[in-house]
Amino acid sequence: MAVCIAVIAKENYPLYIRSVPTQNELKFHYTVHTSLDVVEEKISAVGKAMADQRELYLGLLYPTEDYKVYGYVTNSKVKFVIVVDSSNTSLRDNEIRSMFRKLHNSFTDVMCNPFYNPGDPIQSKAFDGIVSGMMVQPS
Amino acid sequence: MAGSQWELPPELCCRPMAFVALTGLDVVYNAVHRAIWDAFCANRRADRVPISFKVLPGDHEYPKCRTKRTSYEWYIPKGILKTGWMNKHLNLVPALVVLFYELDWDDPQWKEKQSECATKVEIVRTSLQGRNTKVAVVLIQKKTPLPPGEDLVASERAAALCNACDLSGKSLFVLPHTDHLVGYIIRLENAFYEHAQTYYYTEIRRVKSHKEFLNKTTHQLLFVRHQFKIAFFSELKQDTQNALKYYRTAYSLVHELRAHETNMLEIKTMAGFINYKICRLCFQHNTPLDAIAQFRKHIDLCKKKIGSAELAFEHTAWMSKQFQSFGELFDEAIKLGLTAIQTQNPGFYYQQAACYSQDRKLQAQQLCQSGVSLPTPDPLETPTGGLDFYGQRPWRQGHQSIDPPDPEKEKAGILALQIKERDVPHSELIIALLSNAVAQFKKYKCPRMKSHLMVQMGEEYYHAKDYTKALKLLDYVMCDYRTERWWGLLTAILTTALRCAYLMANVKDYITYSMELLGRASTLREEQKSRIEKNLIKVLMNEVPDAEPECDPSSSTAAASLWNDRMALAGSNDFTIEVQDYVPFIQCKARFQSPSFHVDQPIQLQVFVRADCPHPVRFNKLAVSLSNQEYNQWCVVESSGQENMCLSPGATRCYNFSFVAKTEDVGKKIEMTGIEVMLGSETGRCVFLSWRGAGGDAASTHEALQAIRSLRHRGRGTEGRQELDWDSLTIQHSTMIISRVPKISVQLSHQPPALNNEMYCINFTVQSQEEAVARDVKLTAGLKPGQEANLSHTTYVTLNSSKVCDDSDPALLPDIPLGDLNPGEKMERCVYVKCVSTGQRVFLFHVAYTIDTTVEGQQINCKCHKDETVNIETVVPFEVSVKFVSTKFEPLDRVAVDIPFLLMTDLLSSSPWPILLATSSLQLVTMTSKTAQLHSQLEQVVLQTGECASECFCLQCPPVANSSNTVATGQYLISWRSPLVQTAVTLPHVILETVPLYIHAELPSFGRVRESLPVRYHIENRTALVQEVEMAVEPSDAFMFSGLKQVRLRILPGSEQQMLYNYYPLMAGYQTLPQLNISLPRCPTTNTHTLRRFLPQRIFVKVTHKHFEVCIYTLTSGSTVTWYRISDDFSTAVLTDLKLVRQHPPTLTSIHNVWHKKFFLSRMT
Amino acid sequence: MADEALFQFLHNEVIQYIYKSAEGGETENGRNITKLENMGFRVGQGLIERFTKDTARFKDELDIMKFICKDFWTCVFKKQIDNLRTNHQGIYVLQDNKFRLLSQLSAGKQYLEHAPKYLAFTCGLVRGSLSNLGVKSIVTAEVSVMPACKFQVMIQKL
Repeated sequence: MAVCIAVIAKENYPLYIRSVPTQNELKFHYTVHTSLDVVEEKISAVGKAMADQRELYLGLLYPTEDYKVYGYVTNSKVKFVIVVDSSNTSLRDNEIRSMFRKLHNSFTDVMCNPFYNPGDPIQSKAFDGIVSGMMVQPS
Repeated sequence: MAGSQWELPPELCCRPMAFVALTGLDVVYNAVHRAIWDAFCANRRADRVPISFKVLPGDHEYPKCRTKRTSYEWYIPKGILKTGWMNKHLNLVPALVVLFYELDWDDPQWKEKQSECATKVEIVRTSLQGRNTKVAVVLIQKKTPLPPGEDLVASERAAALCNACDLSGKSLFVLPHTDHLVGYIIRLENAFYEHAQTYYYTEIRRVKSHKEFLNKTTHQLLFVRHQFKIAFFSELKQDTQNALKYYRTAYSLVHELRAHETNMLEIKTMAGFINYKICRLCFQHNTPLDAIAQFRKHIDLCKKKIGSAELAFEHTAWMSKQFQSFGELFDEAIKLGLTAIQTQNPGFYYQQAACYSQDRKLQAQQLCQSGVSLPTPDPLETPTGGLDFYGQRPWRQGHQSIDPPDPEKEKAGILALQIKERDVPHSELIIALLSNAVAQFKKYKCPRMKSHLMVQMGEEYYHAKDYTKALKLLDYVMCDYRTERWWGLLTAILTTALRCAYLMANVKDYITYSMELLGRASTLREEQKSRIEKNLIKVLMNEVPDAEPECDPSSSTAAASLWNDRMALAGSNDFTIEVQDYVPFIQCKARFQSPSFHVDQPIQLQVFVRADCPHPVRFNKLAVSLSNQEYNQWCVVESSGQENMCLSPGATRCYNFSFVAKTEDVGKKIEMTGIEVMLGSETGRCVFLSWRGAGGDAASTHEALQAIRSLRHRGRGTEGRQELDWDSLTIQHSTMIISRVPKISVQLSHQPPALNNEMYCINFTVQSQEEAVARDVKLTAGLKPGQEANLSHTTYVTLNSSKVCDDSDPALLPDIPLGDLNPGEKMERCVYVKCVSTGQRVFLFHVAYTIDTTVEGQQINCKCHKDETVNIETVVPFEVSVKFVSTKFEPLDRVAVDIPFLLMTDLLSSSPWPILLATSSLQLVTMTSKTAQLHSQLEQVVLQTGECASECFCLQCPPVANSSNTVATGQYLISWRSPLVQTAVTLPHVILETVPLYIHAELPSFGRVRESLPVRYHIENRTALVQEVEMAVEPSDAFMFSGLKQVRLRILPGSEQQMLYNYYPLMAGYQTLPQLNISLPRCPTTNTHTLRRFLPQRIFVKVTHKHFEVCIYTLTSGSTVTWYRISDDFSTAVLTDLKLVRQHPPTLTSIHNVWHKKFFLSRMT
Repeated sequence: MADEALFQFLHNEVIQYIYKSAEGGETENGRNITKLENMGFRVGQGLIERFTKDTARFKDELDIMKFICKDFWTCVFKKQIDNLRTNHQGIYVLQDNKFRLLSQLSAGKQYLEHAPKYLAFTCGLVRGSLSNLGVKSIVTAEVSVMPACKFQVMIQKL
């Protein structure tokens, strides 16, 4: 389960960031922001990559002592970032993938909402709900 | 010890090299010895064997060797590794001691010297009692040695010396100090290296041999120690593969030790050492992934081994050091050629090291209370000044059991450590690590990581109270977060920056940061914004702001006094803040109402201002600067005590300005160069918020873009409420001043297309609708500039209708003065244009005048102008085609000398209206006209579109002197239209030929049935020879004839013969004349065929003499059909046409002009 | 089948509506075209988000154009683009020999002058899709013989 989930616009500004309330929110913002370095690098390298390396899921972006940061980029260059606690070793790659799929599906719904203006912060309740389901539940 | 406690010992970090001691060298006073020593030391590159040399005196005391333990049964080790051990084997206990001794083989005092040498060897041996260190002797000799085996004395004495010194032959060397010193030295040191290898090999064997005596319960520490030692000796032996193997074993053994609070530090210290060695060797072996894996394992194993909670900072300090050392190892490997990647570079390790250092600082702050003094005696002092074993506590060295021996001492020790920790310059350490990390991330394309670390550095400087440096860093990265629109992060950085500015009492920065924290990009809560705004208002009133929360009270007090000092300081209270690149709390956008204004209209511009802060803001002045500063005075608004200069939160205010442009600015652009809003007052502090251009800030472009996209959704709603949508307000930062709209009408009338070369008339009418007199009206007329270049050479314009234009007339007539034009007055002019080439042309009619008018009560003198253009096509009026035919109307491809032929011209009108042809004439060059014609047949002919006018000329060409066989014909001149335009058509050249024999017939133009038809043939000899001619007339059905049927005759050069025949037609209509066969036996090139072309082939035979006949010929030329009715005797011909009917006196030639296509005959009654 | 017809009917009605509602005012043809184009833009933005959800990341611009010609066109218009040409300098010409939205109009020249309004939405659709994929462009359409149609995409380099 994630400790922080973020959606980042094409132009790299945040559209949505949600983190567990128990920890320093700012720190997660920085973690997500710095992870964009790796995302950008991976996106820019796509031309050279083989077809199998061109999936939307970017995998583990970089590990820190405390967190694992995973990335995903849609074809519209919107980025999803999921931060997971390093101690959470039970989480498999497949589960991370399916979390991203869920996020992407929900994001697509947001994009198709006539009341949403692409590029604006996401305020959708439905999207919020999906994200809540993936976050570490405060115990 | 405090700060450097965690530094790895240098003997651990260096690369171990075999230690060889050199004795018997006097490097100070003996030049030869000095040179030898230098040769050992100089140029120790990678190709030299890895040995560390040291010069020691001959009687040097080497460390004593402890007596060998015979049994480990009762031995309980006190620690893992002695602090002196590594150094001992690197620098104190040599693998080999070399004794240098000056002795030549033929030394006269050989005996004495031999025994002296033996004594010296003995001294060294005694000092090394119990060690396996080898001894070698090097004889320094003056003479070059003979090749081995030749010097019998030498080998004998060498054996004797070895014997005396108890040396093996392999340990005795000779060093002649001659030319090749370095070569000898290299050979020597290679030999030394072999000895050293053997030494370390035996050392390894020795340590290994201990193993069998050890047991697992009491000697666990020794297992680690021994493995470490074996590994270290392997390194000295340069056997890094095995060294790595033993270190790895040592590493797993160290973690097998039973860990408890008292030995935790020792275990971690040793684990750290061994880990360092392993990682270092892995990098050295170019297996960085192994190094990283080992390090991760190490961290995972040690992370939780915190040890005493009271000394938690020790653990974090140690962790920090682990990361830092690994980062350094990694970095060093990169310098040696390893490639790192974005996600795996030394930066991460430095960053993590910094992170642990930050934790350490926090823990230290929590655990180390101030005010407690160091207990006496200092429990950290040891009798030797250092520790016996790595990682032990000074107050209980060698203690290995679980519980501390003395709880009191333990407490005092911990307290002492805490007190020491207090003095550690944590921030300095953190900043150094962060700065290392920044350098790395910069290298590996991680700009955001770099910014993040710089923020941390800034914050650390803030904690270290170095606010200037803090602000410098924070200010530097702020814009990155602003441009990427990470408002949450920007707000956090601004908050820290504001604190720094407050604590330094830096007014300008304080205002700048406040301004942005109040702005729409700030994510602060309302109450915080409210607090900041109140403070800002205080600062504007030159009062001391409240302290920022989270500043410690002592700093706040200091800051308050600084602010008080600032307040007292008079002057320097004006601040201008460039807000364009921020997201300030007052937004400003300006626009000219229109992208252009006529000079007789007032220029209007609007400035929109809006505040995003929680409370209303007052401002005192709003001023717009324009590119022409003279207008600035009209674009200022200042408060004069009323309410109107106050901005309510969220509401947009609009200020309108208008001014009259200067007439000399017509055609120029007026730009807004800046907008200033003045906050505060002259009595307190003045802050000018200054926008470049027409406003907008770091965030407004994106907001405007989003607004455009979402306009569809909001659209209707806001329209109704007439409320301005701030985001969709667009900036119009410049406007053009354009000339006054002319109130005149210009009309052009003409009848296109224009004909090539004609004087084409364009009627120009100008009428004034002005209310005043239009003065100084000027017309510029002609070809519009900027068209194809050659058009200007083929176009002529004039006002003069009386003469045809020529090259002297321009393509554009500039500034024709037309005088003044009263209101309502009309003026006309005719402009004539002559176009020498065909095609499209654009003609310009530009009318300029000046007029006086008033704008907003101001009298101005305006220049107005109006342009009218017209596109005119020029076409050719007619096409002329020319052909040469024989007198029989057969097309000629060449013309015979002195024989008449016909030139026929067709003039086909392509003009859309009738063309009046004035006259036409031929200008011949070499040829002569056969007909004395002066009168053009085309005179006064009017041609309709598509009609054709033809002429025919009978010409003859005299012999030409020059050799070329072509001859120029001349020109056909046609004059048309009025005023007269003459068009000259150059006629084609003809090819000339000479004929040897010319024959032509003389016969009536027609015959009558059964009436005699006399035909006379003239045969001319045109050669210089007598020609024999054979002539024969072939019989014909249509004629009977009388005359010589067959004849042979001779014609003299240049003379002529005539043959007369009387033909008697038998049938009416066109009849083929009897064929004449002529041959010239002397001139075979000329045959009947070539001659026959000069003769008529047919003749028209009429039925009877008396009847009146009408024939109608159809003349077909091009597509036009003209009917000719011709009376039988050719005395008169009447030309009838639908359009024109006129008398046409026919001549023989003009009748021949008719092309007999078909005819019919009818009898009239 | 039904959804296909539905889209066409809806598209036709949208055009009718836009033109009818503008008739009263002085709005000229250009504005209506812009309106339709903007509608297409927003629809394209959303649509491409759905269509590309399960495709691999695009390699380059050409890869994107191929996707538009094949998958995207098939989803929207039930057929692929017949011909894609490029000058390799940012201009792509997509040719559809039987463009769905024109196929119900009589072939030939009869309604040629009305063609632009039936193409505006699609131009926007393509522009919106490309824009959301990070490619800024100008899309224009050209018809000479109905129902064939050429869309020209001009990439705007930053």
